[in-house]
Amino acid sequence: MNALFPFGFPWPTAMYLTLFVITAAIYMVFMQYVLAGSTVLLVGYLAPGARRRLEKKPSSSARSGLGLIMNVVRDWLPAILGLAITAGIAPLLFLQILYKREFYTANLLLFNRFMLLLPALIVAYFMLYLIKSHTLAARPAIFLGLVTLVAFACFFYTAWAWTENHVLSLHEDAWRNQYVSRAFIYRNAEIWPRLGYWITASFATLAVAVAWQLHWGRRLHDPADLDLATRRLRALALVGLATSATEAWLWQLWLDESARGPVLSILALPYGLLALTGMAVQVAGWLPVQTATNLTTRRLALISTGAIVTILCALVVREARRMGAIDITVLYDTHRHAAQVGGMGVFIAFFAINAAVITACVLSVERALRPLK
Amino acid sequence: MITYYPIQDYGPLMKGMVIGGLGIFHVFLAQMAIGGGMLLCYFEWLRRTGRSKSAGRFINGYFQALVLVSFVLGALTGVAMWFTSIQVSPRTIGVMVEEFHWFWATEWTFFCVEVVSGYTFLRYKDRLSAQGRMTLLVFYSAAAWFSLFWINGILSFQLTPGRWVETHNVWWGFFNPSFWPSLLYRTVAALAIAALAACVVINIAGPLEQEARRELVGHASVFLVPMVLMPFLGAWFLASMPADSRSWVLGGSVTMTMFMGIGVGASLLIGAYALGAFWYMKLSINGFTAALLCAIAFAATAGGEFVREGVRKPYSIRQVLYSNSLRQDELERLRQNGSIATDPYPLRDGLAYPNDQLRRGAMVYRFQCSVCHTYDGANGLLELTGTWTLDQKRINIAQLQRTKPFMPPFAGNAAELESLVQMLSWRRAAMPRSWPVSDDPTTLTKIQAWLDEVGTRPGVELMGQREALAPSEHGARGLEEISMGLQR
Repeated sequence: MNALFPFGFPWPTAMYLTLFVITAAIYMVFMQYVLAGSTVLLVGYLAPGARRRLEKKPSSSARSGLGLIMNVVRDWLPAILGLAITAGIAPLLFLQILYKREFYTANLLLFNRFMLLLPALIVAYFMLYLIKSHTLAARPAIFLGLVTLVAFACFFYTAWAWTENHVLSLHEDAWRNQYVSRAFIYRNAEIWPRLGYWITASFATLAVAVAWQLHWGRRLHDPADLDLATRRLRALALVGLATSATEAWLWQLWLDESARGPVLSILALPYGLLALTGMAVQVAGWLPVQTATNLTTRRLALISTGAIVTILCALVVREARRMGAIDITVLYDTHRHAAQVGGMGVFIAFFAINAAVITACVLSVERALRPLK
Repeated sequence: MITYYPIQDYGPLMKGMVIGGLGIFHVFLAQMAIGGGMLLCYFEWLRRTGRSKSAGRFINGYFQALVLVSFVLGALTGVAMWFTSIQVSPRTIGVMVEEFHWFWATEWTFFCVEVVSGYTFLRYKDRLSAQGRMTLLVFYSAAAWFSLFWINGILSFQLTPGRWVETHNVWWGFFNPSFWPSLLYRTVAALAIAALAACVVINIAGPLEQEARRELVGHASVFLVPMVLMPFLGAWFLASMPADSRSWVLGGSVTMTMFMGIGVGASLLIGAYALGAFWYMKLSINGFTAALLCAIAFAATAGGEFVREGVRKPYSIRQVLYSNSLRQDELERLRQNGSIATDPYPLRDGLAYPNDQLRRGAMVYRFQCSVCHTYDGANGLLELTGTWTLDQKRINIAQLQRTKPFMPPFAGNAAELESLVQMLSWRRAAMPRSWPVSDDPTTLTKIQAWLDEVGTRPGVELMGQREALAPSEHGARGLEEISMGLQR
């Protein structure tokens, strides 16, 4: 705890922590797209004004900024959910190496939650396909709204269950009572600001991701619609950044001294400040944006860098909080043993090969679509 | 130091049933995705070379079904398998993750390729060149098969860790004795499942003319041909098993033999239908028949997976962890010190027991037995021990590995064993409000003698060692006493 993350740890622990944070960041991008995307769809279909706009002009879900954003999100959500679930496997793996006992115990204590995650996500997945279907598209927006509500409820449940599980894994003193009482829910005030942070932060991530999508497909859309959508995205990002910063502040206020110590120590404080800098970069990137033409590749790259830095650093702070609750020094031997088993070279080799294959997939599509642009 | 985890009770449901049910479903879907990728490559080749006029339409319909069923349900049940494994045996999954995490991480990179190439194909297939389509399908199909390659090494390790036990070299564990037969068998099964699923899709995906259907079914049925290899691969897999495991499926355990019979019988039925109907006579097949054949394939998968899980007993990882997640050295230590003295989790229904001895018995049951047994549900202990006298319970549990060689040795001291016996008897007696404490030193001495006599070696090691089965003087005296008691 006396050195900057992850330098103060033995190399196996540092390696697994770094791998966990990086893979969790990749997962977060997709997860936040899904969480914020389903919220945007829900608001779009259920908020009276938006519904009226969509219903009055059947062909015009692409005539308003929100309509255009909703079209893009609706089109991509099932695939992004697939990517989120796949991306989630790697951090889940490294988490089990790092904090086996804590993670498994919380899982066992909240087993009902994890038994329900499966049907919840399956339902949500099929709802997303249903939202895309032609059958439902021809019906009033309220139908789409109800289907979206089901999907959103499933995603919200998943987010809450994960946060609850994580917070319970930090509170060993609560395990015994949680078990004996057969409590269905683990109550802890830390859950809500944490959950609040990740949900609100997801709007900023969604905004920049959709901005890229609109930027790449800008020749396919009406410039006026693009301008409207761009302003909506700017508002979404700024609201998300402001509320998530507030949630983060509330969260650290709630922590007791022992938990706040590592967060505000040399271990994580620089990352906390860097996360704020990342937010500031995003705000600075979004503020001057008025039209789609303002969203140049360079500006989007700048905002994206800010978003990535924010996510990575927030995850480091999250780990620092965990270390305030768990004595990681007793796990060094486990991490050392894990690092000694063979296979790392295979992973690195196939990581590189498969990254190249994925790039080839994307490039082949890009080439095929070039004439359309 | 043993790590204790909070253990959940699923009532009449055996924990193995929960993971088994989900596992079979997941394996079926995953194999459908793996074979499906190869099948799509084949149909794309037929389309490109002009050998099939309807292949293009089929590819679109089949891929849609593959995404909806396999990407969604397959991916999620895969993640759920992890969570369920934690629920059933956190220590087992912990050992597996620790030992094979780099291979799991490697498998993950293939999942990423699978998802990206799959969604890319789904989304842009109509805009891609023929070469581009084929490239994406080959990427998808190779990634799907390689995901099988990696997970197969990890799963087959559980049954046949091979030289890993001596060397602790992860490569020995991965390329273990049952790796290749298992991989090849699963590949053939994946091809067959994909072909049957294709027959369902051909019948339900849009208005195809009779001739087009017949042609597509004919092409799909090519993927059933490798099934002729199944008997040889199955025999190879059997030969790679440890002798005791093999003996369970070849008559040693009726349940195992029966499930093996279901797997083999179902596969034979499909193979016979394929040879007789699809391949030789070039008959068409309607949607209902195709669905029925898929259901039979599901039964074959269920039989095979049940056998794969079951023949590992008394281990969850052979020669490493017993099915109650204890290592041999831990078991030996617990024989001396007791198994629940440091368990931090009290009973949830502690007040329901009339005395501390029964409470201790319930904790022993929870720690050692509840992973495979229930009280009075599936594999219920009250039923299994219902007709045993007190002394029969004592000796049968003390020498559990002799009672049933697929049971792990009892992992506690004499006092804990007596607590367990009393608790089972109390439950069998409909849980009366009062129950006497059994603390007769002679009984405990007798139990200790039985425990000492059998030792802590597993039953599968005692099998075939006749001298080890000969009772010692001390144990023989105990047996005589039981015999006399029964005569009286």
